[in-house]
Amino acid sequence: MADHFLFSVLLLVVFVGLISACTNPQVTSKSFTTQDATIVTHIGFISEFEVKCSSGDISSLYAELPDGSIIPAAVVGTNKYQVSWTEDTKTAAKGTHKIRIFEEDGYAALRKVLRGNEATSSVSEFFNISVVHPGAYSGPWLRSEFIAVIASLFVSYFAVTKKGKIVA
Amino acid sequence: MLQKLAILFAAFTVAICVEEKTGEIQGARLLISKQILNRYLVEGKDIEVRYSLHNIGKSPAVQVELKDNGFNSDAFEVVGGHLSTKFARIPPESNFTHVVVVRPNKYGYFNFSSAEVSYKVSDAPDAQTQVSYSSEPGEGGIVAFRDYDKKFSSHYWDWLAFALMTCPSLVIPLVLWYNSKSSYEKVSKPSKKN
Repeated sequence: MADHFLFSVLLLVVFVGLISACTNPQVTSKSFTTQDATIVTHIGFISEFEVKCSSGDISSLYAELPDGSIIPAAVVGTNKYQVSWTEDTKTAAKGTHKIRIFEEDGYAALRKVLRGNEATSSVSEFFNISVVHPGAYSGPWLRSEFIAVIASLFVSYFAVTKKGKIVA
Repeated sequence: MLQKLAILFAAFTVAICVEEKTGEIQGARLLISKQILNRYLVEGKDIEVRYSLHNIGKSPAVQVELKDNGFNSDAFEVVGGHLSTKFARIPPESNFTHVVVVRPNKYGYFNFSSAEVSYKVSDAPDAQTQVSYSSEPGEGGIVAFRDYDKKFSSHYWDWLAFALMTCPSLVIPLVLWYNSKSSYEKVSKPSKKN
């Protein structure tokens, strides 16, 4: 009797697990980064994404950032998530940053791998998202005052040499 | 009988005290700091707000809700991230950040207040809900875009206008001189050839 009970509980657990797992996730993401480095001290990377499963629900999601830290994804709506972090304006690299997203199972596997001091790349992710940072504006390349001084020097040089020729 | 009851009561209260004490140590405890990562606060430009969440407790914080009502939708436009979020679970002894970027529509002094966080202190179904507040960045002056632009813009157009204005006084003498020079050369060249 007890065996029967245990078996049915196990079956139920497996069944529930099968039902609740999200299969074939469709992800739409958009990213936002601060692009004016003249007024902010850190570049903010924000990724918002929406996950649609063909069946099942999503358990809580975790994200692995480019620096290797693992953080919980913020839930901002039904099946909508946000992952965000900051980097110093000097060290923030432009281009595409890849973020790996894990489900509860993947997160548990990650923790295990991290405890064993192994590389996290061995754990396969639930899906990937990318954050594009086109680079930040950190002031003009050449100051306008500098260009004006160069131009005025050029004009006065031209005038003085021509005048010298006439006088001579 | 009465003595026995008293002893039982004493034991019960001690048990409750112990439970509360252990609960206090083992439960989740979130520390939240709210920071503004700007050199200048400028009207219509990005203001970057970073919320750092630290769980210093021994249990995960569950059903965490982070809400910042400090940015009025009349005065601020949210351009990146969300001011109201939920986290299913924050593991013990971990920290991470949440970033929101807003743009102010108006200028003047603004008091950056604290965000509110509510969470359950453990996984237990009867875990108590804790409400806490983040640090306050305090008052900051948002500069009008016109004033900011006067001080920090590249001034390329201003210099271009200056160059155009100085053009007549430079170009007119140059053209006059060039004309007279070329006419003299025309006169002098054929005579040299002959």
